[in-house]
Amino acid sequence: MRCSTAARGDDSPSPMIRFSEVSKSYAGGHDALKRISFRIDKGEFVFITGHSGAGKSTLLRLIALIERQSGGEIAVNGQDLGRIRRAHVPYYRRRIGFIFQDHRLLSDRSVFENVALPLTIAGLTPNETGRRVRAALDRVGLLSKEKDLPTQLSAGEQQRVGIARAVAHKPDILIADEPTGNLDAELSYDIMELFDLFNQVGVTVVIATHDLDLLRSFGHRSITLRAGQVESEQELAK
Amino acid sequence: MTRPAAKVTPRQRSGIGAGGLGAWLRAHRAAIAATLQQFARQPLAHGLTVAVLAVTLALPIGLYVVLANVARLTEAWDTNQTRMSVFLKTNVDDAQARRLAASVSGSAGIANVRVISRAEALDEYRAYSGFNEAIDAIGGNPLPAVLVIDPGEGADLQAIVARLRSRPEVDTLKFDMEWVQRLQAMTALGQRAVRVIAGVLAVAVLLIAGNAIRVAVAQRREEIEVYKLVGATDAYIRRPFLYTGWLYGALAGLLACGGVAAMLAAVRAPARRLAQLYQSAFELNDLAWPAILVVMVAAGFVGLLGAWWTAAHHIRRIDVR
Ligand SMILES: Nc1ncnc2c1ncn2[C@@H]1O[C@H](COP(=O)(O)OP(=O)(O)OP(=O)(O)O)[C@@H](O)[C@H]1O
Ligand SMILES: [Mg+2]
Repeated sequence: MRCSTAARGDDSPSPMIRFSEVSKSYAGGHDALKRISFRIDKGEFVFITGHSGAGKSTLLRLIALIERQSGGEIAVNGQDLGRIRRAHVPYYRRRIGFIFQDHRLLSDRSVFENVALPLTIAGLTPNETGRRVRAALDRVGLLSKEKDLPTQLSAGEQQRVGIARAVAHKPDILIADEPTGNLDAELSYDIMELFDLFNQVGVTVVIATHDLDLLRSFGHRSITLRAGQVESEQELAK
Repeated sequence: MTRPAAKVTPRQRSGIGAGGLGAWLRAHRAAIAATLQQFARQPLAHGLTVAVLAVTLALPIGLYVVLANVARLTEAWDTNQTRMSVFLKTNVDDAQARRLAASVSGSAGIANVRVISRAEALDEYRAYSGFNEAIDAIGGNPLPAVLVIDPGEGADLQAIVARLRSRPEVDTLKFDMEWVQRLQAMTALGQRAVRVIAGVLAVAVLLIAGNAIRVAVAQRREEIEVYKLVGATDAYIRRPFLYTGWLYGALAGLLACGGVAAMLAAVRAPARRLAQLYQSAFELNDLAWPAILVVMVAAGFVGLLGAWWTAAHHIRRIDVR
């Protein structure tokens, strides 16, 4: 059963992410993306797949404004990313959640403090922060570990803390770059189910992954990249 | 299955980014907490920076206090009043000295004559010089007797000097106020020099604090990346570093004042004895709290400036990988 359609609430879904002829060349002249175009609707769940070096990470980093495109236009929720000035990037990032393969938690802060970080930064009150952190930790099943340090957790748990941090501020978009890269099949499945859960409450989810088995078992639309271009798109049924 | 968020629009969901005074205060409270945490976590590294800054600050503060005291002391003396010290030859004994004094005090233009006998001179010298052992080692009394002469109002100083010089008992003759005037001139010069030194060392404080902050930023690079990833502005990330720079300066100022105060305490008793030699009730002035506060505020400001200058630059250059 899918809820994303319900979340869109109309028949002509508006795009959450739209790439138009987007290119990205890194310093040194390497073209990581070559004039690619696609759209991802509000509330959609999309996998980005392709071989190593195809440009998956680059694509996600452009959405998070970690990199800037060299050409073309990227619109996120109607906003032209090319026109977001440096000083406004932090505010833009508060509307997205980013998850890396290496969870990037602060090893000297507790699980609670790690998840609270985006909320504290955004200026929420301690009460509101505590409430939202516990809700997020509850979602990923780690409420009992809030006082632990990340190093005291397993790899799967660490990744779930990373997810809790990415969703605690209720972002419009959740972006994950190979979130299951370090995990075994069973843990990977659990993590993907978590993403599915967030997608079901209306969050647009974009995940880059190598794991085609996993991709098939979840059955969402997938965009396959090859050498910086869109090779194919397919919609899989679960 | 329940669909809790299905009716909630995205705008409402991403309702993050509280503004206003409350958020601003919370951000500062968080920055202060982060700063103190950093100090608690690396007391040695931070302590060392504060110590280096304190040593740098102690020099101009110490000089300033010493010169201020000297200035106060010399201002108290009336340099228009001319008192003469007449040093007699060392083979002139105390009885001869007293006889000379009696004859001089009768002559024209002399208001008052006081005899410092050889024994008294030695006692005084012992009292303030602290060279007891050295004097004992020399054996005997190397000091001459001295006549301290106050000329009368409107006296002919030239004539008095000529008359005294002609006496066979007299070795040398000095106007006491000459050196006071010289000292006053030197003090004024010194005070100007202190200002220049303070300026130069303020630049040193700026550089030292700035460099310490640069190292701190580099050390916390990964943490800063994570902060940027989850939407922290440069200003937010910078804030704890600015507090750190300010704290460096303020603590160093306090520590430097403490050091200077300890130095003053150590020389207070000898200074008092020295003052008594000159029949003066002079007391060394301590560093007053307002002065300490001024030092802390000024040093804190310079530390803050140093932190701002480097933190802004280096934090800006860090980006999410
Ligand atoms: N910072 C960079 N500087 C220069 N070239 C880069 C940089 N990042 C990526 N590239 C190049 O861009 C191309 C696409 O890289 P990207 O990381 O997007 O691929 P990917 O699909 O994520 O690969 P993987 O599956 O291995 O993570 C690669 O050829 C890579 O060498
Ligand atoms: Mg990649």
